[in-house]
Amino acid sequence: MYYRIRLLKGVLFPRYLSYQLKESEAMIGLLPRLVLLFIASSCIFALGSLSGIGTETLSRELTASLAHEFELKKLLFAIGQVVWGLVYASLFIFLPALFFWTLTEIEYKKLLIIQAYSFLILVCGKAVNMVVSFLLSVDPIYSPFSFGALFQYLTVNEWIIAAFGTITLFHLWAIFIQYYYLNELTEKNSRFIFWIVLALNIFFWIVNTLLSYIKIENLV
Amino acid sequence: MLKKWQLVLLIATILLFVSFNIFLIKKEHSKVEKVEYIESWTSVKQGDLRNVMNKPGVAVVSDESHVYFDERMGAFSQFFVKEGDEVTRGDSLFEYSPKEIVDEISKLEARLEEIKDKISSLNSHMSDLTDYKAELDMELHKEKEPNYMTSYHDLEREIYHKELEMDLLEDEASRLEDEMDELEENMESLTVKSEVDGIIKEINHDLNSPLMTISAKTISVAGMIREGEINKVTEGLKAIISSHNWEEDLNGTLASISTLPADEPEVEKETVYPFKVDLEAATDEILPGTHVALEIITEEANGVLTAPQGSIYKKKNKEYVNILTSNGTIEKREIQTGMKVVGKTEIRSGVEAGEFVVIHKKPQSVKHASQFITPLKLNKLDKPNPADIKKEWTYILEGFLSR
Repeated sequence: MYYRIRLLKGVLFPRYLSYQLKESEAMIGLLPRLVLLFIASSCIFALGSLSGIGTETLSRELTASLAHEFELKKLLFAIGQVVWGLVYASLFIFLPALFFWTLTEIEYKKLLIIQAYSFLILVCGKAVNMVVSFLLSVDPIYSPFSFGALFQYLTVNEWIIAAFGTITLFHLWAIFIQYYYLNELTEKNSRFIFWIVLALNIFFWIVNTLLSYIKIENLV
Repeated sequence: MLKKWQLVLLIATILLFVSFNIFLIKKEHSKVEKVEYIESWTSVKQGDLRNVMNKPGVAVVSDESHVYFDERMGAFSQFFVKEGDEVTRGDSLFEYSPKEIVDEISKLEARLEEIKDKISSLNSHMSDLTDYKAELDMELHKEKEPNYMTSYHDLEREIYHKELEMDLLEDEASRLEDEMDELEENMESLTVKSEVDGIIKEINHDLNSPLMTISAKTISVAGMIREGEINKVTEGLKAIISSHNWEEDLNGTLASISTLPADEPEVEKETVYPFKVDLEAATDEILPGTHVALEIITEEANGVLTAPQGSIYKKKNKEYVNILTSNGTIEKREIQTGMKVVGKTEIRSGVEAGEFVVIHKKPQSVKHASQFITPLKLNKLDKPNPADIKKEWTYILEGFLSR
């Protein structure tokens, strides 16, 4: 049976689509959708950094640089973010699919589709997050969708706050989608699927946090 | 998948979570750090501020002085100048006929002569009497004749009388001399001299009043100021005079503002008051009647720190600006302001030259020491220079790693 990939439907109606995915043998339209996701990802990051979101550390350069120097630094920063957008997309789609492929019997292509669905959630989530944080005049770490604000009141440790600030409700939703689809498509134990999905995402979370520490260390 | 009630519960939990977070962010004394979005800013610069009032003006002659004919001084004799002549102070303009005064002086002189003669004859008479007295004196010492005594006393008396008469005559003589001096002075004032420098504008050959009108050479600029504006200007303000026909502007001072209106005031008409601007340097180049443009400097501050209007805001009667610091934070600072012109204000204290202030579209105050972010301004970018990019490439890395 042919399976047409519809990203939005896949996210909103996992019940039906997971069944379809399970039964199908040929999947159409993956490549264009992956391209779309890559483009969307880099666009979101571009728009964010061009508007200045996330550039707090750059602001201290304002008084020290000439106007065109300062703007150049911001532009380079934005380029860096765009590159990250692409890398992020590829890392999030291909690596987990590889991981799951080694641990389950599911076809790689199907795993890619699952990752595409969860990535869609992440991309939209990031967009919503940025907009809402901007309107509230806070950094996206403290977005109402994330746990950053909460942990600001629970601890003074900046690392912990930042770490939990990167987890948003959208992340949780994406993880859920991964779990749900994997569960449907595999014969493996639900427990098992649960733990590998969790392990994978926690791993990413830790690496992400470490990377941001490096950046902070570098500057300070 | 999920039962209906489970779905509802899930949604409710999510909403609760989000609302709670929003509450944590928005509440007063929130622990969540705010980030301000700054769109425009500029640095505090030194500059000159000037408020001016622009008025049209016309070049006029600054003074007209009038010379009058006084009939009591005598008859008119002749003019020494004609219309259009240039005169300086002290030049003779015209003279009265001296005839009557000359007659008078002659009379007085005659009288004076008379008196002087009288005084001389009295003098000689007196010296005779004094001699005679001296003779009698000698005789009296020789023989004591009562007749001689009487004569002696009579003689003395007469001498005193004569002395008295002489005194009176001498007084009169000196009076006459004074009177003659006065008349001589009047003779001099028979020639009327000019009291100003200028040009003879008009001569009334009919000997009507005024006999002569002299225009002084100084050109000044006249203008009108409206009723509503008059309390904005005072005498002494500097003004700049310019015209399409000249290359350079001239400097002047607002010399006088009339307290009386130019015309009879009427309820329906706007009242205007005339004023005069004196030129700093006398110049021959302007003809009276030339129309010029005046810039009256009503307020001036030079070499002061200035900031745009939009960067200053008021709170509880104090004025503040927001400074962007080198830590990437915003500092709220109290300032004292001075003169204002359209769009810029003088800052007397509180900031230093070169510090960056935020320009707000709407007045607002920000939390002290908030971090700030700025959007990319493409118009401020120069053409990317490979050397620059090489220098700053670390920023790409920073962007890459930033979360």
